[in-house]
Amino acid sequence: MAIFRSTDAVSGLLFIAFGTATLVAVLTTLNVGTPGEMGSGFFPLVASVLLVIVGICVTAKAMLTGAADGIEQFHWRPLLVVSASVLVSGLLLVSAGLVIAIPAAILVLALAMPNRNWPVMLIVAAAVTGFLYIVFVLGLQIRIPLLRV
Amino acid sequence: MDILANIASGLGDAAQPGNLLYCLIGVVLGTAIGVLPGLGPVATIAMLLPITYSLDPTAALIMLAGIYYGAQYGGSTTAILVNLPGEASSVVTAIDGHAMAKQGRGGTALAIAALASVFAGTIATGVVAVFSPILSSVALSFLSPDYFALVVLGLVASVVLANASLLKAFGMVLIGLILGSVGIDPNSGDFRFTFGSVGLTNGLEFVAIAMGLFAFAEIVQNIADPDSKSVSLNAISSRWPTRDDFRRAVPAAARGTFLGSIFGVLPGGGAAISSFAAYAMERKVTRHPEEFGHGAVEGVAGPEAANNAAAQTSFIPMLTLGIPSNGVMALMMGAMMIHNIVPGPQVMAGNADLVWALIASMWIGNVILVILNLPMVGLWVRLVSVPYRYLAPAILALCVVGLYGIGNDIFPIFTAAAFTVIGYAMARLKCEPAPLLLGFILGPMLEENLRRSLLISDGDVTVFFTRPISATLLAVAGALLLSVMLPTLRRKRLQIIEEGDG
Repeated sequence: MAIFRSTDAVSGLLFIAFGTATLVAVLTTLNVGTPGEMGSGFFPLVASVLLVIVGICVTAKAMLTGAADGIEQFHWRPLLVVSASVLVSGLLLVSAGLVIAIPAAILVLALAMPNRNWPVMLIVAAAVTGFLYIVFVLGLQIRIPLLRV
Repeated sequence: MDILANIASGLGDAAQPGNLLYCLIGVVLGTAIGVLPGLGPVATIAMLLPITYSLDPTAALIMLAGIYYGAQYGGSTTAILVNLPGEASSVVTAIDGHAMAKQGRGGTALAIAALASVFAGTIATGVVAVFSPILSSVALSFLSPDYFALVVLGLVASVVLANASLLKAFGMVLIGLILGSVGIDPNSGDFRFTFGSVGLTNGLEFVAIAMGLFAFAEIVQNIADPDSKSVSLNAISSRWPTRDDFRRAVPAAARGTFLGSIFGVLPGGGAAISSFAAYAMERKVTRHPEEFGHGAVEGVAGPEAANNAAAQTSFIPMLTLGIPSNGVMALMMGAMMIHNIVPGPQVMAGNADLVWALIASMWIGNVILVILNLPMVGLWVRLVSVPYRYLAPAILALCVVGLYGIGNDIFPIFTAAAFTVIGYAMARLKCEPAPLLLGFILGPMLEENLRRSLLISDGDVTVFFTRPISATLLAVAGALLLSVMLPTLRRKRLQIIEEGDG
């Protein structure tokens, strides 16, 4: 399908999808009200309807001009590794503590690095953890659990 | 001459060795933390606020102001060197500033940013002192329809700024507006789009969205194509701007100062809109539009001057009306109230000494900033030459701990993880993330003023066109849109005609 090779067309379709999803959520969960007496759903409703309209225009324009500029390759591995690294840090920060969470996140991140060198990455992990301890715990007095087993 | 006498007494207070020292400490700490990727002025001030509790009110405010300017400049430094804008106002600086850094002119970009900032700071301080009564009376006459129109104008300016298609940028604004409405509706108390999640009840964290869209998505891209990263390392030799740089930067900085001074004083304006508007303006007036996005000096000088001018003048509504115009001012207001000073018209009368010392320290803070940062440009530049496989873990770890530090809560970290995926997908689809951020910040204000306006007019939308101020602002927004659409239409038509001929 040529349409999936145009960045504009795909963006437009995603706008339509997100707008429609919002619209459904507004209509099923919120009170829209009237212009003179706006409810909690009024503003999101207007925004989502406009978004669907914009999405239709973007898609239509892309299909009419037939410009398939080609979407650049999607690099799944770095994307998954970076988001996983952030998730891991969030999951471990309070439950296991800074000393576990940060090295774990950094070692996960190292999976995506070309020509990684594990001993060096371990040193980096230790150095970064120490630096964060000095800046945030000693310096800024933010209460972060250090180590919980 | 009341004003001169006031400034003189303010300078006398601010230049006392003790206050000068706190100003210096504030600027150093603010820059040091603001330079860390993803930590903008709000986060930096919030973190350092406790340090100032024990000081006397004047010293505390002077130090906080120093932290603010330091963080602002530090954010621009990171935006230029590593393309990681810590907050919305340095998003546009990253566009051309980082392009300059990639060409080995990072030092020049930093110097331009610093000089434009102090230039704007000097003039804006004068503006605050001289026009404070006039400007506050202008802001006094603003009603809800006018605020609504102002926000619309700010959003239109951001759409005009986006490099790609106007329609896509408009779509991003709308997505930002929707995301900004997540959480408890302050008006009705309804839970909007929380889907039963406790973490979503207070809304999405702005810093988390910015970090995901910019910092983390950027890490993904840099890991995916390592070649593009090595460019920035060659020859950051010339740090002082050339005569030609100056010739182009000075008018841009002057225009930026002008815009920033105006936008800063309007509630809800502030540094972010100012830098967006200044960038849009530079792109319009330049004779080299093709250079924008590829290292145009004006693209650094204009927005940097604008956000610094706005940073100063945004004190006006807070000090004189008690209305904080943005997150930073809300924090400053909180700090004043800890010292039993309630900002508002009575502060100008009752605590005039403090107000004038604060105004004078704005200027002193700016001067310290340049004295401190120009020699240290080399130090910041050296940050770039750290290999990315060491820098990336450090950036990521700093960001997640910073996110936790915002409210001792891990939920923003998960928000940032989600926006990493969204940000990367957006980059692949050539959608600009900046309009989304602006929509997100301004959404609640847009909604509140729309609701109030329509409540007063009983649902009649003509209220926006019958009030002179809102009608003018909307007309400017409309003109801005038309000015960009027309040439595109003409070019498109020409293109189609040419294709038809061939």
